[in-house]
This record gives sequence, structure tokens and C-alpha cells, in this order.
Amino acid sequence: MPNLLNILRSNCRLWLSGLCCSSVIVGCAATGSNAPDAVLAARATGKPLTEQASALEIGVATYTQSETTTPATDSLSAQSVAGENVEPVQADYDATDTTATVGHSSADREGRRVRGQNPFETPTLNPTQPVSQSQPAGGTGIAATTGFVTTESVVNTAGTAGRSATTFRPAEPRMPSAQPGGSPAASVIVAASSLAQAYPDEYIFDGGDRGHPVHYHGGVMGGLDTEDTVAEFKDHTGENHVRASNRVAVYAPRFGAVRTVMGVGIDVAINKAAGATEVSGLGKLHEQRGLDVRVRNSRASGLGTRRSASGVETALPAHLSQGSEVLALNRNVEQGLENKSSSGPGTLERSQVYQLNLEILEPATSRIRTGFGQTAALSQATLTRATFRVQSTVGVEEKRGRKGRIHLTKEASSLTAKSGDVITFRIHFRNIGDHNVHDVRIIDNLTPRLKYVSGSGQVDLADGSGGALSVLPNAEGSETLEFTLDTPLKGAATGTITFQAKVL
Amino acid sequence: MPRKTDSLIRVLKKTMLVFVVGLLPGGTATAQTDTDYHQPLSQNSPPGQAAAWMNYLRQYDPTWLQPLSVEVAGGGNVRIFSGAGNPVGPATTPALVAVNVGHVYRLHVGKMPGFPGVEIYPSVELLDRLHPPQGRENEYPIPITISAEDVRTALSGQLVTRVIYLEQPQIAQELDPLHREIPQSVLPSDNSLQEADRLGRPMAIIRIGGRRPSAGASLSFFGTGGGVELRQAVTERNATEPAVVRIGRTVISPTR
Repeated sequence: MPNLLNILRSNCRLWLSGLCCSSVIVGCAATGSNAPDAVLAARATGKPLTEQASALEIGVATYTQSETTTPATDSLSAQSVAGENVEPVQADYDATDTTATVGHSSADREGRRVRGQNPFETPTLNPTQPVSQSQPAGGTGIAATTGFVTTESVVNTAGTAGRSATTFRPAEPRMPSAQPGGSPAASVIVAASSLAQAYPDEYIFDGGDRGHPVHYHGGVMGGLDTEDTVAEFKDHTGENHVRASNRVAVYAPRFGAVRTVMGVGIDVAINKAAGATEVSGLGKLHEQRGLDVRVRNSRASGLGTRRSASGVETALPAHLSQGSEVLALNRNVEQGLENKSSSGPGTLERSQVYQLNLEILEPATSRIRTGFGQTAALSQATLTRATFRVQSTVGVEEKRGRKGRIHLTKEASSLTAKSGDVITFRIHFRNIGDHNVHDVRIIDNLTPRLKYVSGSGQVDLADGSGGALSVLPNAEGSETLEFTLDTPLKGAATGTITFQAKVL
Repeated sequence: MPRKTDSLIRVLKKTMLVFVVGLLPGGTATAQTDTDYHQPLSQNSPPGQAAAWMNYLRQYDPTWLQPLSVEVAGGGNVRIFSGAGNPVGPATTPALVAVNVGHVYRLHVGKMPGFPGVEIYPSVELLDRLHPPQGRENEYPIPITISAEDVRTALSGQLVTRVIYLEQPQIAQELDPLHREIPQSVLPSDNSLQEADRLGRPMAIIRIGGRRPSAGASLSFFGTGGGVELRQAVTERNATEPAVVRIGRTVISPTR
């Protein structure tokens, strides 16, 4: 009996430990944050989060290094961001989902210079340092050029090289952050604390490309969620591009309350009200009538199609022309008639096709024979090719250059705020290509917690040209800011957009 | 043999508790998106049950004290009990109090200008904590608000329950949900904890009723014995934010 008890107890402990682990992870999700695995692992194992945070920064360094090759003159190399020597493949993560936090503590470790009291001198990436850009998910290695050479395929190679380390996943609370087949664009978060990624519901985010990636469907832009900040432009070939900025996280938790009053008298009254609201008979009747469904079923029962199949009854469209849905049926019927009519004279058509095939085959064979037959003319052809085509190819390469591409960097004047505070945001944009980019629009879809301060938007370009600002309401009750540049942005040209927003 | 049996029963009890803890408010990612999930806890659960489950699950650091800002409409004095008859305080509202997460505390609110001679004993059950930047914890307390309507309702013999939640920024409303003229409310037959979880992350449950400590009241009336201390509220002057932000030739004065 004691043995049985021991076995039962040990089994229960195993079961208990298993449940504990799962519950811990589940509980972490209960905080309103889909914390990344690194943080979850830290909680489960009791490891300090600071270690995990440094791992995140290492991830950034590795990612940046592998994706972009900075010029030799760049003051801040990828490894110096981490402040320590880092193997190129330290962490295994999807390039599309890579996010990291750069906070005050990391800035201290990096030993960056103190830049005075300017609120924009918050620990952030060097403006000259290219922010790692996203790529379509799936690790297909679609190449996209940057000003510093690049390629996401390099990142993918790193991602498949060492699968033993930590896997980073996107962290968004209660809302989807990464879509299959899509790409959250910005991978850098500028925040006051390295825990911004673990507890994002305590922060106001602005920038990046949250949720569904910005895309085009039928020529219309879609996927522009709140918080998104993207640049839309056309390169010199006329191709449309969208690039997202980095993300800025402002610590500004806001609270609400759900109130309930309980008492004997109120209980009676409210129970009746609750019952009345639950009596949804009317709604059910409406749903169960199903008039539309019945009509559709009767008309879609195939009567029209069968008639058309049985013979060419041209009176059929007149019968079914009473309803709007009949139009669709008419189309089907007409298609059926066409099919049948085509099958009728099918013998003639087949014979025509057969003859055509014969006609095609004959000249084809004749061409081949003439090609092979004129072996003596090959020398003339090679002379022509060797002289002109190579020269023309060299000429094209000289004019090719790098496609224009806009790189966005976003900054905030303060990384902590309370309701009523005004934050100044800056968006630095730069054409990191050689060619001009045209039709440049920089769009910032503000989160509902941010209210644009009217008249505060400014666009400053190095060449003195300007732009226009449109403030449009969005579906979330906040506003979308659209900065449109008046002139094309030349290669290596830069500019800055500044605006203020009030924290609600 | 009785020892073995007791041990087995204890293991089974713990196992069942862990299993049920998985059903805590918003405990799963699925629950966050599905509003029809079953929520075993509600405002009607015994005071302290939700906090105890959260404490068991999260294993909160007992050395960490979460600041609370006790705000009473019209002002007043507040004292805080924590499992004993000796309160901390009094302090003038709004008062900054730091307490342990996962515990229940009893407040004593009196000297309210709008309610002369009235004393109420609301309870605060702290479910979760914040993670502000280091050194700035006192600037971001969890608000414990008691409105004049709450006091009137409690004096009429009814029980007011407020579930304070951290708002989900991406589904935030334009107006401040905590200081709305008409507060968000649900029917007593509904689960306010579940509603709060739908809107954000539940942080605390406040119960305001007419219950008062009697002479032979159990110590449990005064809370579960977590740590508590009064702190100096952070004013705007000693906040670390710069008063004026200069950007080029533009001068921006942050709104206060």
C-alpha cells in the first residue's frame, strides 16, 4: 500500500509539474500580453529578464549586421550596438518577426555619448544606421536592395543555420501582429524600458506596420492599421513600394473601470430587464424566415440550366428576368447555350483545329530545317552578335544604379507620458538609393490614444522643397496624417517631418 | 497510513487548484478574443479568491510593492488595514499607497467634505501589477477611485463593485474610461470581471458597501496581511520630465 501511494504521488507530481508549466505560460498571456518566448522562458525558468533583454539586443545586432552591410565610414557598426562580440548567428528567429527593444539600460551598456537635454536624444539608433527592414514571411529570401547592399536572403540563411537558440516571435497583446505571408515591417522598438515588448498594453506604440501588412489590392492600399507609419513611393521604373518605420513605445498606461451595483431591490428590476434583453424571439424569427435563402434555392435549383441543356429555349431569359438574381442565372444559361452550340458544330471546329495544327507544323518543321540547313550563315550571325550586343549590355549597366528606396526613422520627444501630455514626433526619411523616388507619401495612422495637435505638422527637406499635410479621420476614431512631398526625392536626399500629438 | 493518505489528498488538491487556475481571467490567448468563454471568477466571488489564485499562479515578488492612488471624490482621509487592526495612515486623498500584489486590503475612508460624519470601509483586491521604467513606479500608480455616487449607493445599503482594468491601447476609447460622467457598468447578472478582461487587463477589484467592523470582527475583515506603506505622491515639479522641450526654433510647452 505505501508503494502504491508513492507511485500515485510521484505520478501526481509529474502531472502537477506539467500543469504548472503550462499554467505559467498561460498566465503570462493573461497579463494581456503575448509575451515573446524569451520572456516566457525567463518567467518559467526564473531567469532575470535583463538577460533576455540583452539577448533581444543581440538579436538586433545580428539581424542588422546580416541584413545590411554598412559602409566602412559608418560610425556605429552592428556589433558595437550590442556592445560585445557577437557571433553572426547567435539567435534563431524569423526575420519577419524580429523585434527588439533599445532602452536606456542598453544605451548605458553601449557606452553611447550623452547628448544633452534634447528630448530627441533618447537612446535610439544612429540615424545613419540603416534600420533593418522586413521582408515577406516564409523565408523565401526575396531580395530587396538597400542603400548598403543587403539582402534578406542573408538573414534567412542565418535563420536556417542554427536552430538551437532562442526563437523570437512577435509580441502584440490580444491583437494579431503578424500575418502569415505578410511582414511586420519595422523590427526595432525604441522604448523607455526593455519590458515594453513583454507588457505592450502599458505602452502607446506608434510606427512600424502592425497587424496586416500594408499592401495593394486592386490599386487600393490596404492593411494600414492604427500605429502604422509607412512611406509610399514609386521608384524610377514606376513600381510602387511601401516601407515602414521603426516603432516608438511611450509608457502611458490608462485605466478604466467596470461598475456593478448589487442590491435586493435592484436585483428584481434588473433581472426582468436582463430577461427582456435575452428574449430574442424577434431576431430569431427574422433569421428563420430565410426569404432570401428560399428564393435563391428555388431559382438556383438548376431549372434554367436543365432547360438549356435539353435544348435551346430562348424564352428562358424572359421567364427569369423578374429578379435581380435571375441575371446571374441568365449568364449561366447563356454560357450553357454557348457550350452546347459549340458542341453542336463540334465536328467542324475540330476539323478546323486539326487543319490549323497541320498548318503550323509544316512551317515549324520548315523553319528548323532551314535553320539547320544554313550552317554556312552561322558565321555571319556570330559576328553581328559579338560586336553589338555586348557593348549595349555594358552601357545599360553603367546607367543602372540602385533603385530609390526610402528609409524611415521615427523618434518621440518623450518615452513616458500621462494623459494630456503633448509629445512631438519626428520622422526622418532618406532616399538610400541612387535614383529618384516619385509620388512620395508618408502616412502615420495614429492610435486612438494620440490626438494630432492642429497646425503642428511640418515638412523640412534639405533641398528646400516642401510638401502638403492631410489630416483624415480613420475608422478607429483617431486620425491619419498624410505628408505628400511636392517634388521627387533625389538619391541620398533627406528630410524631416515633425508633428505633435496629445496623449488622451 | 493516515499521513500517506493526507499527503495524497494534498497533492490532489494542489493539482485541482492548478487546473482551475488555468481558467483565470483572460488566462489564455483564446479567451482574449473569444468573449463567450467561461469565466469561473466574477465580482461575486469571495473577496480575495481571484487575488489568491493570481498570486499562486504568478508567484509575485513579495518585495515588490505596487503603488495605488486612492482617490475619493471631494477629498477625505484614508487609512489602510492589512490583516490586523492597526491601520497605516491616515493620509489625505489622493493618497499614494504601495501594497503587495495578490492580497486584499481594507480601507477606511472618512472626513469626506461631501458626507460629513460618514465612514465607509471599502476593500481593495489587487490582481496584477504594472511594469514602469525603473525608478518611476510612483508616477504610475493604479487608480483606486471612489465617486460620490459610490458613497451614496453604499449608504443606501447596496454594494458597489468596481473592476479596475488596464486599458488595451489598440481598442482604446477617445474619452478617459475611468473618469466618464456615466461610468461603464454591467448588470449584476453579468460578469464585470469578464467584461473588464474584454476591455483590457483586470488590475484590481474595489468593493464599496455598508459593512463595518464589529467589536468581535475576524482579522480577515481587515485583509490578507500583505505589505503596505504610505508613499509621497509624485508632483509634477519633481517629475523627471523636462518642463519645456526645445526643438530647433520651436518651443513646446507640454500640457499639464
